[in-house]
Formats: sequence, structure tokens, C-alpha cells
Amino acid sequence: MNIGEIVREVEVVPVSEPMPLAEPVEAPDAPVPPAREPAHT
Amino acid sequence: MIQDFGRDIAVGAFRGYRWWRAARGGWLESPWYGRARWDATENRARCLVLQRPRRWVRRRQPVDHTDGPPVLGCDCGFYALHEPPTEAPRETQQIFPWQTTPDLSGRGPLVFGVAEAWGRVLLGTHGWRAEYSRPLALFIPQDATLPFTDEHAISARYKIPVLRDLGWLLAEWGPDRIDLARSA
Repeated sequence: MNIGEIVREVEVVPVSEPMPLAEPVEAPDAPVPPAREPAHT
Repeated sequence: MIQDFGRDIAVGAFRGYRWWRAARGGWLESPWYGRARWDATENRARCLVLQRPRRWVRRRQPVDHTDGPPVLGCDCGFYALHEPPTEAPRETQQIFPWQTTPDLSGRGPLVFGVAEAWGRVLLGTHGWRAEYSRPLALFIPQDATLPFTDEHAISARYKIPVLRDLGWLLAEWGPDRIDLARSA
């Protein structure tokens, strides 16, 4: 089959698969809740 | 000299028009080289051609390129066209059978339809070569006479629509216009 002149090369990632990332990305640290003062007894 | 394009990344799949051979049991096969039987969900291309100094020769056994398939300097991969073939002169169709007009789908063992591609894909000005492909939809006219199977067996095996109207296939399943210019 003649598809003509090749003009691009593409890596096609199916929708069901995650996109490859150049570098791993870490989730940001969860905010630390403020320390609660101990309840007075 | 083989040009190095670099490699873009895209999400989803490309669609294109192509032919299959409808075999016994409702199987679809590659019609021109290798008679590879297609799976319904995923097919990975393997190289069947061996490059000699002056001509291409079919391999005895399919092989895998280290970087592919498809490889720029080879002919391997699953093929499809951006546009359906237009009616070509009979001499042209005999030399390039994939140029057969879609109206002849199902008038023999060949059936016309739409495939999608993913993985490594080489985009050409008239079509693509791909690492992975699967059939999406077929056009088989009402009065078609498939010699080895029928449209019900194909539809049941592949869970794909078999349309009686070519216009419906082109409108509902045809590929979107592909941007052939390389992204920055």
C-alpha cells in the first residue's frame, strides 16, 4: 500500500493508558494540620 | 538517507481506510502479505520483508525490529489510507490492488473498512504505517457475496458494525483530518 512520503513519526498512546512522562512527578506534600493544643482536663 | 523526524507523542488513535480478506469462520486477515489473522482488540505488526540490495524479499519467518515496527527504512507495519481509494483504472488496480474502489467490497473475499492505529505510527501524505491496529467498522453491501464467510460471522467475532452504506462508513467512522505538519 502506498502511503506517500513519510512526514511524521508519532508515538500514539491509547486513551486507556497513562501518558508517559519525561520525569516522574511526585504528589505535593499534604499540608500539615496545625497542632491542636491538648484539651484541659 | 533516512530522515530522522524525532518522535511526537499523541493520545488516542489514528483512523484510516484499508482492506481485509474475509476468511472462514468470520476471521479478517491481512490481504496482501503474510495472511496474518487479525484479533478483535489488538494486533502488533511484525516484519515480513527482508531488504536486499536491489529488491525486497519476503522473510520465511516474521521478525521484530529492535526499534519497531514500523521502521522508516523498511516496509513493515499495518497500513491504512487517509482517504478512501477513488475509482482507478483496471490496470492500476491490478498492480496496486489496494486502490480498488470500495464499491467492490464483498464482491469477492476482500472487504473494505476502517482501522485504528496506535503505538509507533509513521504518518505519510496518503496514509499511515502502524505498530498496533484493529478493525473498527466494515462496509459490505447488501448484495455482497463473500465466498468464505458472511457478515454476521465477522460482526459476531469482532463486535464491530458492518454497514451496508459506504456513505455511512465514511461519515460515522472515517478518520478526522490528520495534521501532517510536525508539532513544534
